[in-house]
Amino acid sequence: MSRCDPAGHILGSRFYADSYSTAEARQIFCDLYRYQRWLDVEAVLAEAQADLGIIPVEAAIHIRESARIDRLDLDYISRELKVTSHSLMPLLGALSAVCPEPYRRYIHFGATTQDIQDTAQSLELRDVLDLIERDLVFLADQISRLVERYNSLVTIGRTHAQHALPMTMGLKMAMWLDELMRSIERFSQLRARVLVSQLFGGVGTMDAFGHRGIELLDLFSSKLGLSAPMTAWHSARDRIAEFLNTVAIAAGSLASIADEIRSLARNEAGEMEEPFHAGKIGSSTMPHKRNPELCEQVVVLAKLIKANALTGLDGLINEHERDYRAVRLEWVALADSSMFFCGLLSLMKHILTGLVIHRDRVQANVDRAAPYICSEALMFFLGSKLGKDRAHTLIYEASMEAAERGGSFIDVLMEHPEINGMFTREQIEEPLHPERHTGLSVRIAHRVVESAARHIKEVKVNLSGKRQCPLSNSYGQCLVGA
Amino acid sequence: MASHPIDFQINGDVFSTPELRHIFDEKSVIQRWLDFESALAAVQSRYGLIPHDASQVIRDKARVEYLDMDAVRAGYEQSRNSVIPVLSELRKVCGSAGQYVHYGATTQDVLDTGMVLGVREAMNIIFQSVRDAESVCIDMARRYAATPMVGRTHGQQALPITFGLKVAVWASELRRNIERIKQAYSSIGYGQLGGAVGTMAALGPKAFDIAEDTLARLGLKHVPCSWHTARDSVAEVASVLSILCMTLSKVANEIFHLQKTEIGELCEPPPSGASSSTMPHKQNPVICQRVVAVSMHVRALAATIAEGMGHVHERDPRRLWAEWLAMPQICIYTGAAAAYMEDVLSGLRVNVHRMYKNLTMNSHVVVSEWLMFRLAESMGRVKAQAKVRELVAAAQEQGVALVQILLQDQETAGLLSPQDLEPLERPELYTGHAEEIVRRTVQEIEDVRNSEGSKLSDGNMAESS
Repeated sequence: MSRCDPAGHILGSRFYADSYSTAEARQIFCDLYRYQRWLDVEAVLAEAQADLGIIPVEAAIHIRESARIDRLDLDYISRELKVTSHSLMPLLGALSAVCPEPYRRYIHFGATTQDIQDTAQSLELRDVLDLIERDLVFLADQISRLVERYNSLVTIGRTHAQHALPMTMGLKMAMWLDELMRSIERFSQLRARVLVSQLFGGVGTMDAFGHRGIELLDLFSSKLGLSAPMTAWHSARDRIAEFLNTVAIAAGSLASIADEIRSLARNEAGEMEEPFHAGKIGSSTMPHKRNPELCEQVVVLAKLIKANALTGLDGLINEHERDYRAVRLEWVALADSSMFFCGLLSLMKHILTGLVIHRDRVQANVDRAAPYICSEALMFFLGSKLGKDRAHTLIYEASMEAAERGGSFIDVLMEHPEINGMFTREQIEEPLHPERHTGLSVRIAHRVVESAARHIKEVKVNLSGKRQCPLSNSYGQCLVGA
Repeated sequence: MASHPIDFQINGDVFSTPELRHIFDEKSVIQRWLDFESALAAVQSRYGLIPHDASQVIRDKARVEYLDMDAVRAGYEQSRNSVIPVLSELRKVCGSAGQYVHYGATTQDVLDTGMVLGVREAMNIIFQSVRDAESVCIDMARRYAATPMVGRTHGQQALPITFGLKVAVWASELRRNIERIKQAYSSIGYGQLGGAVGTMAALGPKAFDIAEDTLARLGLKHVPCSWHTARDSVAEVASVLSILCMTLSKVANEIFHLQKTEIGELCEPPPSGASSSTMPHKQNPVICQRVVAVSMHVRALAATIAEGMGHVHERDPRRLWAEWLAMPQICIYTGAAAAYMEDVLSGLRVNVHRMYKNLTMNSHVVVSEWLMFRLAESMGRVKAQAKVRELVAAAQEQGVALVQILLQDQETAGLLSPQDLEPLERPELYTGHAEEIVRRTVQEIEDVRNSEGSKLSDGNMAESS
């Protein structure tokens, strides 16, 4: 296995993999680790069967001892995969080769291939969900801090990419937080539905396990820390579709934040900037550039993840009792989406931790826009005497005329006979203070932060635990093939 | 009762146009089926397959206005076939000649041929809109060939360009789309007359002549091998239209961004009424946003059509019906987007003052590349790049002009005189070959335009009206 090993997928790139994922996420889907999980599932199956007296206790002990990927002949497995075109048998063959007689006959006793692979996949998903929830909670905390820091900073609210009305920066961020909290909720709900085992045999009847099949399923599941499903889900892939779509929704929400930062980082707005460090290069030929590269990468990952969500829906369509076409779609989509999403979360943690808000530019933009973004307030003020609809018409006409000619629409308005006699310029300018028209921005934002804090407490996540690959030594070196 | 926004009777032109809707109107669809039956009867009588008199009756009666549509509707409540209720009514009004209607054809022959006719009509309308939009772009590219503005990458100001150059890129992309439409129009130029499983079994010994002549009467070609389950040409049209729609959406999105309040360089033609119900000052890029919205649907529908190519065995309505639902929408949305963009581009407001103001807001910075190459002459490329980065950072940090930093810096002070540094004050001098690129691009497109007709055709075949 020391020959050239080309890494053609970007996730395998020694140069770019970290822009698309993280090392800890890639570790979950390492092909050796995946096989180890399959072996672990086989060992747990044997142990559960021994507990119930279906196979001898010695068999379970020997299977457990043999079921270590570093003891198996990997070259044999590679060769046999080509010969058999079967995704599991070569691994079981290699396992049998190291498991002594008369115990090897009890390996994979009554299970079907997909029982093992789906169960192991649920274990992978559990690890992925641990990372996801850890990072989402970190992000929610970080956004909460940003909301508090910028809760009273007045900024321009925009619709149709046009200046609309005043608001606070804290409210903008509180809306990010509120959306993110819903994703956190979705992930905690899906755990119960998605993290289930699979042990039903060839067509879901449990025939080969004898009359103790359901008992076996329960024991097997509890040993693995998974829930036991009511029926086989070999061809009912809604759980996977749910996971892929939940990831896609969360990725879309976060990409929307990244896109907002990128948009407000334009030179013409200049209000936000992703973290910049000396040495970061924006362009190979334009030395002045400071590009929002991280935010852009987040959007890229969200688009890739979205495409995989559709693949998850494709996987729902299965024929008869089992249909490997769906499973093989999942193997790609689930692994890619998980790794992309962990990469996206890592980028967002970096972006939001170092996010720069240029208060001076925010203030300058608000000052310049003040008369326009207070047009609604002015309308209500004028409306008190002229009626709201008439006020809308007059301000609309004045704004459009000013937009055509240039200059201030207040000047245009003051020339109008209906305004001129009835209002002084001071009165007209009185409502034009954006800071007075941020409505309930501060209060709404505060409520969101409080509610988020309550929910975060309920999400039990291991924020500190460092992940260690079971196939590596204490120096992090892979033991397989060493 | 109209429940889809493209059919709304009060505000129906938001995502469609009347002429596109007319093509896919239910009665137009049925009339195209009747046209097929009429052409088939005419040709079959010529080859002696059916009596001449019967053929004459069928041709006279095959008009949607002669059929009792209430009876057709009642027919669909009984039958699940897509054309039988229509054919039954046609047979009824034809009297004894009715037995010769739809003689030896299969349902999908009628449906596919009708669909091709409708799609080709729509393609012609789209072709004309895009061609007109291209013409507007050519004029704009010429007019603004030398108008400086800032080019942007990663949403950040990069280097000076001209507005004409930006528009020339739009024009060249539209031109490639037009070429693709022309080719796809030929690909979808085949009718269908293969009989139930494509063997032409019921069309008699003169089957090939009958098929060829029937379809020729409809302005279409015949291919011996039926395409009941080979939908690649339909998928080609869907792909080509979705690419076009994304191009239109790209231009619309660019205008949307350049209309941002902070940028204000472009503005779609404003409506006569207000943009916001509660903010009287708003001027929203509504049309551009609509184009972006429909493009998302067209892209998704094109994927549906591509997926629908997987027909099983000799006919597979699961895929066919997916195609039916998608094709009219693709044509209508794309056609509406093309018509919208023709309007937006024709009336586009170009604020050359804002362009110049934005270009010079970070006056010296956007010509950093130019400065780097000047400094490279004396200090080498790599060192110059680092130096410019350092100078730009210093200028931004201290809030002073780059020239000032440059003339004070020990390393660069003696290298360039204030005269040499003129492009730093006048970034419009650093637009490269923009004008020449515009000139060549426009010339090349005009040469092709002058050699093509204003209506789509299959080259050697006359267009039926």
